[in-house]
Amino acid sequence: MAYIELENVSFCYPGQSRPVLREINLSILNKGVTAITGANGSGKTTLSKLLTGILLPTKGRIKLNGQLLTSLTLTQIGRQIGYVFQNPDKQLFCETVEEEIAFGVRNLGLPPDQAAQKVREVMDYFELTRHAQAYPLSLSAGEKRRLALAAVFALEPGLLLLDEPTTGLDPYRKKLLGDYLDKMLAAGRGVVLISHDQKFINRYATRLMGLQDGQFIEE
Amino acid sequence: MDAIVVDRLSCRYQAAGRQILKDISFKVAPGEIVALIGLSGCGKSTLCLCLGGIIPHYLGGELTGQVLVNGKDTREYRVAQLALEVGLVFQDPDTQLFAPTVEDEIAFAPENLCLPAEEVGTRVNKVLDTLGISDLRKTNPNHLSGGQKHLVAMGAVLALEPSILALDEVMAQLDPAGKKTINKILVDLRRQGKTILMVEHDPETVSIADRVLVLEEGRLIKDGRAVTVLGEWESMLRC
Amino acid sequence: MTGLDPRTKIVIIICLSTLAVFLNEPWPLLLLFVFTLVVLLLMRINFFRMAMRFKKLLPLLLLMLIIQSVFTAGGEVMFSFQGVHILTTNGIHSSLCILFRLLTFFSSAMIIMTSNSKDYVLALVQLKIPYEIAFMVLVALRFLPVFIEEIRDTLVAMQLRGIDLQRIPWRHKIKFYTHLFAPLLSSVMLKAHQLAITMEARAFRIYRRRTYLRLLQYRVADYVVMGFFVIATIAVLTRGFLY
Repeated sequence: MAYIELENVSFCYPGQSRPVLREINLSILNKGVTAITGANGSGKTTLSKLLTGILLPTKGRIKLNGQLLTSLTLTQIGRQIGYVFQNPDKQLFCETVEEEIAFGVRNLGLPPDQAAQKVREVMDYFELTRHAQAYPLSLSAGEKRRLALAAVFALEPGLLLLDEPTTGLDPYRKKLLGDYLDKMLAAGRGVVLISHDQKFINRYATRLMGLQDGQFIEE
Repeated sequence: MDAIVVDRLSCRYQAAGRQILKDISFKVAPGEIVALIGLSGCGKSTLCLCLGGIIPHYLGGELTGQVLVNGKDTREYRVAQLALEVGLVFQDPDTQLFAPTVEDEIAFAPENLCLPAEEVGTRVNKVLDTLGISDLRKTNPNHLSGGQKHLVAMGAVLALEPSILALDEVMAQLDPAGKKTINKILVDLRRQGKTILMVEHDPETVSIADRVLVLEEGRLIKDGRAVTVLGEWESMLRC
Repeated sequence: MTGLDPRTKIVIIICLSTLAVFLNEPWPLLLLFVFTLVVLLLMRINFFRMAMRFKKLLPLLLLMLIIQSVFTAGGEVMFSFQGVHILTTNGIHSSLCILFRLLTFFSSAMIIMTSNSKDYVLALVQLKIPYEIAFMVLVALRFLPVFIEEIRDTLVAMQLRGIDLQRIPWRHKIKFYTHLFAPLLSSVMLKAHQLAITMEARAFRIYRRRTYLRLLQYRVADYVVMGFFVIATIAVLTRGFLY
């Protein structure tokens, strides 16, 4: 069964006549790397906000694991989809890297020792242990994105959604990010990549979707 | 006279801090396009800040060696005065745009020069024309796409008519079409005699450069023709 | 009336709010509010959207009504409970005053939005305010909506990571607000810093003076409107003091 299912989804920002997305049908599985490409302004980021329930479709419906997205709270959605923003600065709000990862873990309802264990594991997995006491916003662009990824990954969502993850990364850091994507896949998680970085996509995507003027044009 | 002379430049942000740039020397002739490449944190942005005099005037820090732009020592002129020689465009367009319309944004710099209103108007028209964004004149910069924002940020600096441009990853957020537009404009600007130093990763953009400089951990490790240097650097990264 | 000079608009706002402060009877205040609405209508401002937001203040007004009734003596008692006056004519009287006064304040402030921020820079500069300060105002106006959006994004990020906003225990509220405002503060500092560099790199403050692409010019309509508002305000106020 599809992890996320979009049925005839349209979206239009209030006060604007032209819809950003028109009648989109799409099903995404929680395995492999689905890449969604498109020019600036083609509706990529809007689509990612619809998938995470931050925006609600003006028409059509979205189902997550068979449940209507509108019936779920953001908190419930966050357990199932890990969303890394285009600008990760906005989703880092704790005093230390360790805190940042523990923030989500604490809400999982694990006993304290298991929770601490989990935080350590995640930090280790993403090679952030040596930054454990650093202030998140003082990290470099690549590290911040990695931390944001680690923080949402700690909630063990079935699917990770990355909006323009290669922005501001040099070729070497892009390769590192790619390695982490491979790790995600190995851990049995699906990845949705929203990006216009052709080179990166060609290398990692298992399924490619092109978005133009609010509709999918190729698959 | 060389447009840019960087002579044994070293710099750090705090007296006791890490050296960001280590003993860098190079020259750029007028009308050259030079691409600056290197991994994040290698000092590319810092070098741009040094060219505009932001370091040492604005951010402080310790600077040894010398930076000359059109023969002016950056240490002896204020940032606002150096702006007449070097136009600095930064990576994030959102923090560079503050006026309610594109026209006001571009008029801001010539207004600072106390030019008469007609002259300011002429400059605004010229810049809008060069960048092909005349139809955006009355638009709020906030409502533009990423690529258009970059064009406006660049236009705002071009209105000062500096002979040198230092562009710090201005294309990072652009799609291929947006990159093409800016590449074309850069080539156009060179034809008008501008000297351009740009920080860039994208091979296609780097290929329009006459020369490529490679920075690694604050040191200048390569300086040569675009095709050769870029190839070597990419193969070096396939670690 | 949409093409008025921003300075004229400032005068209108000052007149309307001065009247709102000094008038102290429900009827004249209601009249003032209606008049303000007419001004908004002439300026083609959509008052309706703001009115919807105002709805949230209703419970507060109701509370005010009761507090005024309980604590201000006088007037006819309309409803009392165990000797405490819950509703008096005086209470109704003063809470109606507060209601109309607030409505006048908020709706007259909306006149500000009919000019763009550069116009206010020009207005301030032409009122002999130093241009550095005028541009500070411009920048503040520009970034206010950005910061509001950033808070919203952080709130979303927190919910996606498992915080249910409706169910935060009281003892965690302070922690929650530091989480919310720490990134905002650092982003404000960062943006302010980068903006200062950007402006200076565009030759800001190179000379003590600067010129402007266009300047504001009063037109006949501006003098007429300003004259009308100032004279009317003074007339109403002095009449009030005479009695």
